[in-house]
Amino acid sequence: MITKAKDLSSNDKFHLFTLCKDFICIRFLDKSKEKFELEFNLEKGTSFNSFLISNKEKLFILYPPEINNLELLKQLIIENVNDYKSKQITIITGHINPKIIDSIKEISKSFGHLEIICTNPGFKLINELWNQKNPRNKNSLEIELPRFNLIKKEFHIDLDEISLDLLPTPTARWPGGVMIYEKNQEILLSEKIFSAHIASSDWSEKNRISTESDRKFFYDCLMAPMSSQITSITEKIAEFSIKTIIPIHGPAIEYSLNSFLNDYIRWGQNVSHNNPKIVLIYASAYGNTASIGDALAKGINKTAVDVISINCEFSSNEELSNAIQNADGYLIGSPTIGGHAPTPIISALGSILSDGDRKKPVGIFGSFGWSGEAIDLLESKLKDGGFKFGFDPIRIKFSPNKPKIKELEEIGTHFGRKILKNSRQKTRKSDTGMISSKTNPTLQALGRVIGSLCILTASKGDTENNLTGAMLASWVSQASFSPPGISIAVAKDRAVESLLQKGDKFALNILSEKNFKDYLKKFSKPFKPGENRFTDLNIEKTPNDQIIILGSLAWLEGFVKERMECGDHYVIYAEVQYGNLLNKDDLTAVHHRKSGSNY
Amino acid sequence: MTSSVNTPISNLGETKQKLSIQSQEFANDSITIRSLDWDRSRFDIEFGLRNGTTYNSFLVKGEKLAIIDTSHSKFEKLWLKELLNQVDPKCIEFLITSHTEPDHSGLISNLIELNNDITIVGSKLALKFIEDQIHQPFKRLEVKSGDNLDLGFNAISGIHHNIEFISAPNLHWPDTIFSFDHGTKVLYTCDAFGLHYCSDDCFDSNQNEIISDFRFYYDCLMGPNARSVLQAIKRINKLPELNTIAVGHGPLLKNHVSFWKDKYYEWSFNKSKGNDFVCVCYISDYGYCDRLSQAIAHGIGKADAQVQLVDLRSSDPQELTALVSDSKAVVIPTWPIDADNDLKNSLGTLFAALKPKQLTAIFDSFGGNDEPIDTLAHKLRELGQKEALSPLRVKKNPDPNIYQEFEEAGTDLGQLINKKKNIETMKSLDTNLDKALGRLSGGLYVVTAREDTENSSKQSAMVASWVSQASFSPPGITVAVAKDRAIESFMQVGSTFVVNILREDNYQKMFRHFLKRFAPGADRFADVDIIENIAVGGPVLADSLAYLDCEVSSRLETPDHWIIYGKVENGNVSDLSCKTAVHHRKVANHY
Repeated sequence: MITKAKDLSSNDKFHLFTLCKDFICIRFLDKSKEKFELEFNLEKGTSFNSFLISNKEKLFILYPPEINNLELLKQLIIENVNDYKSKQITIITGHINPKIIDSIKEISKSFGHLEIICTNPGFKLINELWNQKNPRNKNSLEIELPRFNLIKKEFHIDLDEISLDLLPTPTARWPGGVMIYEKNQEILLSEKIFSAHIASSDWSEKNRISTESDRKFFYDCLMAPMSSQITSITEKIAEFSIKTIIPIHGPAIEYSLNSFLNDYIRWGQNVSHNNPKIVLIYASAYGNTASIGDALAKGINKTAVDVISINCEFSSNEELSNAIQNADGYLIGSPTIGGHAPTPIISALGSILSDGDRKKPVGIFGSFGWSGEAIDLLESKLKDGGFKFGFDPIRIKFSPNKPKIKELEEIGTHFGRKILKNSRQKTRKSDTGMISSKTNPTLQALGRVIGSLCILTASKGDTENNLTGAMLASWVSQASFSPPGISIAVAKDRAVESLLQKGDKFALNILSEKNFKDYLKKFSKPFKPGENRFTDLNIEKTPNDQIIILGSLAWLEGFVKERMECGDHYVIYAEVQYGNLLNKDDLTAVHHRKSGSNY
Repeated sequence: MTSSVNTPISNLGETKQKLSIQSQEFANDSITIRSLDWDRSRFDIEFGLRNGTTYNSFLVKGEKLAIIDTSHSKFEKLWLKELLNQVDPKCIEFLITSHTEPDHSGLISNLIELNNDITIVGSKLALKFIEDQIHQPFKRLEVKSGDNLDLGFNAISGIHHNIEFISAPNLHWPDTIFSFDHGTKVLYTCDAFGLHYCSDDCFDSNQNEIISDFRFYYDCLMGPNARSVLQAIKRINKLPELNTIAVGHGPLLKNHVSFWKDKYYEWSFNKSKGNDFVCVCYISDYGYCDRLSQAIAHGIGKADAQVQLVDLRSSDPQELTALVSDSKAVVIPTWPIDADNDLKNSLGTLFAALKPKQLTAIFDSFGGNDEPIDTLAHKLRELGQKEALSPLRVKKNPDPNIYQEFEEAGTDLGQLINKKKNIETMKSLDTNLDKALGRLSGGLYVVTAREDTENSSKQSAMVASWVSQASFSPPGITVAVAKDRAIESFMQVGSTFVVNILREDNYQKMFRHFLKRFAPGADRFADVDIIENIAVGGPVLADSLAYLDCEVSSRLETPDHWIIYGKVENGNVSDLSCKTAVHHRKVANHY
């Protein structure tokens, strides 16, 4: 165990750890909270682990960082690697995106003699990105493609005291994935899998509980849509003798490795296999199209619908048409490259047109830099083919901002609910159970549990990135005296749920029995994704800028202290900090129900 | 290596218990022999979570061989067999006794029979207790904090095993001493840091799985001695960084040492804030005094008041005087008529230290030869003490109901001590916030629960209003229960309870009845119409509108309540035309 990994030097941008002689881990830290991708929603910043291994003749750079950290990397090489100039440089990477390609280009320019070890799909991605030019940047230098050493299966590298096994681990999202296992120290470098976005300078996490919610969140955002691939990789990993796992983001994992790997497998099993499925097809797993896909998938996963991700560039036709035939809905995402959709997208489109069921909804999305012809093409072909769209085609220039990401998530949830409704209608015809649920005595009794009618509002972020949400809540109750606190149950598929993470602030507006009906009507109709919930309302702000609805009886402002998963809801415990009455005379609106099977 | 047998317990006859044994090298030259007691569900409060327990003993092989603690006597055959598998008993030089509760020291005499040259190492008090337990001469070595026992170098590993002792009185027995092996950085703590949790996993691999058991054990056994825990941690922190905490119960703590230690510190620190505390006296190894005093202490802790347990047999007179005179209330047991001189001296010190009008409470030790409790009550009245509770009497061998009665009495006493503090915090709530939060209305409910053990059953009830639905699938509800409620201990994960929903047109009677202040242990259901057999979780009130039969699936801790999430397994409505009683409040600082 490297619990005492030697702390070489550091500042707030990076930390340096020695794993053993000639083997260094550089952790680049990024504490900024304003990141747009969904996976950063817990706002703990992030970190990126790159590694340097050197001997007399060679220098290996494992997992080079993105371009913004390249200067730092170069400087650290100069400071820490003796006689780096005379060494043959080899880069090993499986995580590939345009910013990493820019780094590799720079390394090639500065150090020369470059060799890259990667898998075939990895090479395909690098090759594509290498030649892609940004038309706005006319001065970009032509740099020759480095030498490649392509690996098909496990590949072994021996260096004095260090013995590396390269393990190709392709997934839909990262087709080029390569894990690296170091035999003598029993270290696994696991790339994206097992990561968590935390800007921590501690070498390893102190215990499992402290990071569990971060790792689970990362899993839900990025791993859940390809859970079967992740499960089989995890099962394979579990057979190795491992003391330390170092993922590409976040601290190393050294404690309770077995139970951690079991959790990873278990999280995958929770994605039940009897649920309706949506197949999410996209190409070129880099850049922004994929992150739009991530947001849609996260939104869909909040409903009881599963997402199967397929990267059509790296999947066989058979796999693709199987998935299409078994799906209850389709999503296709495509970038526009040189005014066209990439070839694999065209052939995937062909498969949908030939194998797809026209009764099932379809959705399309893509990001574009200069033109968006690919989306137009998908839209017209599918429309002509008789398909119905579950939502308007999503075209995003470059990358989406925070409110847009949230809207995408909501679009995903709506799409998921639509699929769910379709598949329920199918089963309902043969099932008389719906009638009996009205007379089910247990549910009738549960309906007698009453609550106060409230509107919960949440607002987060500054002007441009401000996100707001609201919902009707009646499953609310006080839960402590000192400090005063309340509990609220929030359905997992609520849009506002993502604004109620630990530490988030919100307001609770308690409605009066005199006028609650006006608000009940307004807030129980479904909102469109991204729709402003507060138009035509008189509002005011709490001390921490949460939204007070002035027609209510009283308001409270609190922040989320703890969350507990309870079936299809989260129960949130929040500490209440401020509050006041708006109307002294009326009584609280209390919600009496006939059955516990609806709100 | 694991072997397993089913041993019928001879004196009970009808119950079979599953016992097994396991041994494993867990550090250099160090082997643990763990006695796995899968079904132990004695009614001692500390076993409330019913996950069985283990009794762990250890072998340390330096040049000389030492064994640390033995096992419960019910493991006699299994444990001795496994010991002989591991070592030749003639080679054992030392037996270190961390403390002398029978579940760890039960096999000392068997060991001495195998080799009467073994030197027993322990605190002064521990050696004295052992004398009383084994009734035969033995070699002894008395140690105190800071002493060392050098086991020399292990010939194969070359490691020098030098054991340092750290005294840790009151964790949770007065004779407790920790041992720290400088060669392996393992700390042997016996009861401290333990948990009653039985599984094949020798270590704390699954933190999430065991943390509630760890917490529960702490609350029962260590919480009442929070001040002593802090002292012990201070001493531990002076040692080199620990590699493993080898505990006497449950999995050895190896993977998250600092986490567990930090939790002990955090919980103890929180418990010892402020100055008002209750001093609970007991007489170790006399009658049921230990367990009964623990039940009282546990109850006091639930009311968020502080406790200090004091053994009248072993405390130093100055310490006893200081504790008694600083405390808000003193709880005193009945003592044996034929008390020895040490005990008589302690009692003298105790009575001399009492201040006029100081609150006192007394209880029966039920040791078979007690000074009558009424004589004691009389004596205290003459001294001018204020009676905090009526004397707690025990007329037969304590059963779960008696322990519950004692726990509830403890809670009452804790609430009494805290009354002033609570009123202060009540007043400190921002009045605007207080009024606004008061507008959060709920229904009116009576939560009932029943707990059946081998041959008895106890039940409890409370009025609740902080109840709401929490899920559709599975159907579920949450109930917020104050930590000092008697019913809270019935609502652990896996146990069952019933929510009775009161009628809008007829709730007053039930509401008033269950809001009454009950005497500790009193039957909450006397004079109430109940239906016994329709719900698994507890009695259903005949007057209620509807009931929900629930099973606890998880719990969330808030500063003064537990939010308990229960799956609704069953339920029914008695009158479809009637509505639920609503509880409107003006302020939020009371229910």
